[in-house]
Amino acid sequence: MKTKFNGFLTLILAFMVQLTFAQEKTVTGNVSDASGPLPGVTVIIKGTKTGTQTDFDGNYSIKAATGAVLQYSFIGLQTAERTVGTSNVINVSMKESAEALDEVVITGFGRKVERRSATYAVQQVGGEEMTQARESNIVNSLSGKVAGVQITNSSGAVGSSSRVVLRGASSITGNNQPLYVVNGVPLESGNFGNAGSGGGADLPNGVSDINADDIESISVLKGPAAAALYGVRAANGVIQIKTKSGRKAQGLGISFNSTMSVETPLILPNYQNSYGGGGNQDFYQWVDGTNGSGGVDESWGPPLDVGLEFVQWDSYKVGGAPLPWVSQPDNIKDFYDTGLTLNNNISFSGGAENIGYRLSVGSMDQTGMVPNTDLRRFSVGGSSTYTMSEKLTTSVDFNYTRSKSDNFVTQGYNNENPVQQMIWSQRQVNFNDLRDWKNLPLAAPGTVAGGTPINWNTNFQNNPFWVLDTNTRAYNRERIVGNIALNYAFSDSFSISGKVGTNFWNTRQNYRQAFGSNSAPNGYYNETARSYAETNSEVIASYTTKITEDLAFELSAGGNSMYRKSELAFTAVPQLQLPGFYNVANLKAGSNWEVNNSFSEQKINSLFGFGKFSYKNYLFLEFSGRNDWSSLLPISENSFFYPSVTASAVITDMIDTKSDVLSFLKVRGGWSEVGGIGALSPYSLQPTFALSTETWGGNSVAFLPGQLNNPNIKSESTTGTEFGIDVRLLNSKIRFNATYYDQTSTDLIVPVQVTAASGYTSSVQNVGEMNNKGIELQLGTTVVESGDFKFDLDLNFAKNTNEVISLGGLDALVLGGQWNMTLEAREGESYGSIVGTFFERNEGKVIYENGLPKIAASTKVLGNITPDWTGGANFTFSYKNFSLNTLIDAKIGGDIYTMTNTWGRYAGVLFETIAGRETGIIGDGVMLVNGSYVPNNVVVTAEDYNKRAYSNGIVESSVFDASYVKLRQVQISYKLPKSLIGKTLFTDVSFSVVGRNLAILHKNVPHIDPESSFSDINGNQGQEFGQLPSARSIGFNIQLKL
Amino acid sequence: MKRFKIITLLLLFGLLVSVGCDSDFEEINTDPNNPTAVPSSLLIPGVVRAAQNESYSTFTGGDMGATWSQQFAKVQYNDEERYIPRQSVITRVWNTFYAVVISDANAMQTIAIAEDNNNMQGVALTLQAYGYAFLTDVYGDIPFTDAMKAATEGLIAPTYDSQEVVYTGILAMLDEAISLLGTSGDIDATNDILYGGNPNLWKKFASSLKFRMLMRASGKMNVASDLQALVNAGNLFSSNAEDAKLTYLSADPSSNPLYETIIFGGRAEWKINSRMVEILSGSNDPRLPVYAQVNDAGIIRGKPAGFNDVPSDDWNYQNVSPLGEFYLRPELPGFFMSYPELKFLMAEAIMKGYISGDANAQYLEGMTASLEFNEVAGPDISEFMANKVLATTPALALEQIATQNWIALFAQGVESWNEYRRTGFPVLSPAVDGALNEIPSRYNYPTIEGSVNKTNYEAAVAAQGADLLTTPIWWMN
Repeated sequence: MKTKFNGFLTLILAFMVQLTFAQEKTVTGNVSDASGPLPGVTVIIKGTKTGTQTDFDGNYSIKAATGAVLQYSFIGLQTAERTVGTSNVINVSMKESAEALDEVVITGFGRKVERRSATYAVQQVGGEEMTQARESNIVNSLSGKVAGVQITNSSGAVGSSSRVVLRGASSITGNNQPLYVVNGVPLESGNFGNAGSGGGADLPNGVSDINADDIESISVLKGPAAAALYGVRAANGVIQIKTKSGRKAQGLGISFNSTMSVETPLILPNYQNSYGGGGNQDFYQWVDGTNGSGGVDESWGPPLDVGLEFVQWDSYKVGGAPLPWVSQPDNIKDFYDTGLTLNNNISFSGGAENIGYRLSVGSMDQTGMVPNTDLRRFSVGGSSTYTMSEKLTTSVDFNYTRSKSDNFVTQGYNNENPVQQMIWSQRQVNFNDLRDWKNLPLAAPGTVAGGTPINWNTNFQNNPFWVLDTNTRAYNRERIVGNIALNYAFSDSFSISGKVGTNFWNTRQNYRQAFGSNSAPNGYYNETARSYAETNSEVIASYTTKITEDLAFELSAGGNSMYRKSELAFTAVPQLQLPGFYNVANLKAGSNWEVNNSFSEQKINSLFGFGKFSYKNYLFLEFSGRNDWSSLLPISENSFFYPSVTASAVITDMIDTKSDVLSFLKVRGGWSEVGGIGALSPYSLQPTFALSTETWGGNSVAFLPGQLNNPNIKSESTTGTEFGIDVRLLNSKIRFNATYYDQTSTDLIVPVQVTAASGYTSSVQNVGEMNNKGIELQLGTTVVESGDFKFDLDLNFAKNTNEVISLGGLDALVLGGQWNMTLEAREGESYGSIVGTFFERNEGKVIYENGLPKIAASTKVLGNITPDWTGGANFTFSYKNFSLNTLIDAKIGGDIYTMTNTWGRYAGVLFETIAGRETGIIGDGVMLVNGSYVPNNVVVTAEDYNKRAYSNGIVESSVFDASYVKLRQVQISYKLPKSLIGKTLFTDVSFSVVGRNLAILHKNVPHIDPESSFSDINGNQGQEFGQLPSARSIGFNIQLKL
Repeated sequence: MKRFKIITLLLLFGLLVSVGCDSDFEEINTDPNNPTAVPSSLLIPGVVRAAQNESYSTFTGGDMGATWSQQFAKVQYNDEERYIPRQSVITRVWNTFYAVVISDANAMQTIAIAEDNNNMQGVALTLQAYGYAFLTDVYGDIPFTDAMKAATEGLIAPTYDSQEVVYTGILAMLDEAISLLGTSGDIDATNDILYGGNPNLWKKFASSLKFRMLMRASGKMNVASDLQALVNAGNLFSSNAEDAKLTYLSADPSSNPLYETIIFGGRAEWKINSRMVEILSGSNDPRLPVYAQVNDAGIIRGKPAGFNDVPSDDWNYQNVSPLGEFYLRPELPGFFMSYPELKFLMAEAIMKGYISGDANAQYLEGMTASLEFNEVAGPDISEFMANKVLATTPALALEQIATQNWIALFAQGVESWNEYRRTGFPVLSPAVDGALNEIPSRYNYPTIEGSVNKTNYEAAVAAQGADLLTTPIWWMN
């Protein structure tokens, strides 16, 4: 291979040698718009056919006589004219034409192209939408705005991750989320949190480090065609983020943006308030939180509000005497605080003749709804472009972000998740009375919580406020993303550019558990340090030419080297010697440290080329090819090539059918392939032993890992076809586009679960095949435009059908799960089958035995996480300086396994458990009498019924349809008229009030927000327990520019 | 000149890109974090600890062993006690014994062969045999002949063998282990956390385990001569000091799982079963206060198996006795096989005429050894043992032996359930409010087997009978 690569370099040199330089006087310059340099702008000498186009960086060069008028034109922008004077440099800043703001799109490699010439589906969202309707994780702002983008924000906890899937899952166990590319540099967005069904904390995924205020635009390249240029990680699509930059020849601009928002729980379970804690309707006595009824974390106790009195956890206030047994309907609501988020950002931008720059400083300070949880983020960034000469342009761009939290809340089934003790709970408990834990008496000595503040139950829990204050999960991440680039234009038609970019971060986390914690009686402490660095070095040579008057051709070729390394150091002290002192040196005598460290690295080298033919600016043909060499694959299999071909035709220009009715019609289509390494991680080829984190009294313990590595693994690939149509009607008042795609991923690298009897629990293989096909529709209409009033309606819709075609002979592959439910990939089904136990039925009716539903001994598919369709509706009303924007988004279909429902029914806390408390329950079904089925008529207690019908042993009853329609956003903005601010320093002042995640307009699952998961990883989808409620946020935003 | 500089610069960019294509890939992708080779003995602690952590887990030996043999009872979360097993635990048992215990012991054997170390081969074979024995006794038919062949033969869907084939195979493994142990090779004393590097004690473990396996299969196979041969060879446990037990350490995470969950984890729902209290108090057995603590009322009160709505007024944390403090120590040993069990099995073998000897003496030795293990004071042992004698009526004697074995196997949940299923003693009533009207005969297979090894799983179910808790396994028939 080396030979081939060197050959390529020789080619570049050959190009260089052939260069000739014009001797005549030449006018040069740079053309830009509000978002930066513009490539592809047609520059012609007015009245002639002599002309050129700007290159990838907006530079042009044209021979012209003094006095000639240069005309600059670009679709979507107002045509500009400049007269050639004495200066040899003419820089032009083009203005948007009022009609079509979205005519320029950013495609692969950050190239701006006219939308008319894009040959595949690209959808773009402007930066303004990120800053006004602000989310602490920017990807959440895309919800409902882009067709076919499915976003799941895990929970309302601060710092929660968000999962983004474009066009359905393409990998079985590997990453299914798109590649984020910031200014051409890939940004690892992995979630290194440990949240799962069994606890742990969810962490913000990498993309959340991007400061919304720095974003100029986000463009979503959904299919593999757009992604072929970014290599192996782009098989799930690409989200390109372009940050703002300063413009040349512009004075100092200052922009200030401030947002304050408050967050409250959007939805809480509907609890019953009729029966209190305990296991018995006739009796309650609290002893010490472990023994007596206080040791029971269920609500099958005596009725509330009927004048009863019992000794309760807070009877200490009255010398141990009984207290009234009364309901606390707001006890859960009162547990939560009002979250507060403050965002401030200030940026400076400006430029001179040859330089443009922008500096930005931002801060976010977020206090969660869960007491003592927070997230603070500080970011500083700068970018600058310097035109050293007419041929040489350099740029630098960097961003530093620090995200810090003193505590992220524990989630999942873990007794440090505060929500757990609201489900495994006693309904009469006034949680608010536990808040002031510093002034509460201590739990009884000898109980598990002895020495810690009293709680209503110390058998399974500690005081939740004490846990939140003392058992903290601190987190700190520092990230630098940046690049330097240089472009040299040898001539109008040939340039070479180089770029070196890096994404570097490190995190430090620690987790403290105080003495007396339920799961760590002698305390616990751990520290995790991770670092990650990825460097990409890239060279691209670009050549443009006109083959004939009508036929233009561009060709680029280049190479990229990617090097990535990550390091981990983990130390845990399983028991502490000194209470309240958190340091890894503080190890209890007799206990042993648990340590783990690792280092991994990988390289991908690539050569690529891409080109485009344009015929009369209405027929376009693009092609690309890329060859990657990955260090993760066996040497013999480490090279893989993948091509793409796409084309589009602007019919209305081709056959001159343009009219007032049909303003624009374009068809496009393409075929592409993307190679991938999927779930393959470094060192997955050769077998090794491993040393356990847990020693035996300090002595090493070796073991054979459960995964069987495979020295014969090869790359996977995703092949797709895509067809689309763009139509504009009635002078572009109606804008419609549709895309159909069909893509198949084959040879998926999967750690296949195998029976442990084989000696391993998984085996790395190329087995999977998965297909996604679907349609994406977008319709934009200007419904009313009358004087100062305008009403725009934008709709988007996406339907994706996913099928796991093959698992290489396996019927199923387990992705994750909780308790007895497994989330599986099953052959012939959509990705993400919810599998578990079910009720036995006769002719559709549940079979009862002794009055209780009968649970089958086997399992089956009970649901699937894949939605039927997703969509959004965006209503924008504007009148003079006011605008009102409302966004509704929907996810219809797909299921969720909700154990809030399971355990809430089992523990008797949910509203439905009131039924039959006094009379008993006759389950709806049949029973076998003398060999035939008759309606069930056996009465059982409400407790017996609920505990049988809802428990870890029966999955079916807790699987619900996860459809939702949400009022995602309402935003009212007011921009001060120029007449008011004309005499002030300000050039632009606007205010807005924004509500996010305001209401669930429709859902089918009780008690929870159906948009939920433990974190953004595959195996945590479609599941819920002890959900931290999602946040309804209402904020006020002010933007000042001067 | 300037142009030259620029070209140089671009070339430098080119160099950044072109630094090697794949020349260093092999080196880059060599795992720096994990060893490619380890001495065989370094695998011992992991295998031994995994086996005992699993069998003493409150969710395995507790919920689906000791509550089924009615040594323990639960005052909350007692689904498993009422024969609704936790499927995740059933899967975990399968995975731990196959993918950790047997797989690592199998690797240990491969390394030991390369090391030309006979004693380590014997250790590896003994541990594999123990692993297969544990599995077949709870599940019945299991993969054996085709098992452990993923790495060597790429076989990831092994067929199941009948329990008879599995037993024959285990016995052959133990024979090989017995013949290798004590011949040559060092066993690292630090790594050998069971016997401190003594191959002769490993040989006694292998021989005694073989004795147990033969007795378990005695209803199906002619075992007399093999049993007699074991006795004649003189390599059986001869005291509590020799039996196969892992003595746990004093601190989490290397302490006994009962301590880890009940004391360290604060989950006190595992309590003493009333059947154990009845039997021990009926004979004034001094082990009663060792097995159980007094309840809040100051007496030892057990709870019968089952009951839907616990905790209740009748059965709750206060009025049912906790397990004895002796059994909630972090250092409580985890038994592969105890000396008292061997003695009771020998007493039974004599009663049944498989081997020659004095059944009564074996029986009394088993009881005494158990009392000693439980640290009952010498005078109390003498007082209790006075006049103890094995009944002369065989049926009665066999019940006495099995009952004493059941007592001595306290906290060895799965083994006590195995022996109950084999002997039917002591007489137990199924759990109140049980999902079944009988004590389970086996675990069902992990549900995932129906997916990842479907064809073979279905064949096994066809051969053995429905995949239910109530389907008897081969040696029970």
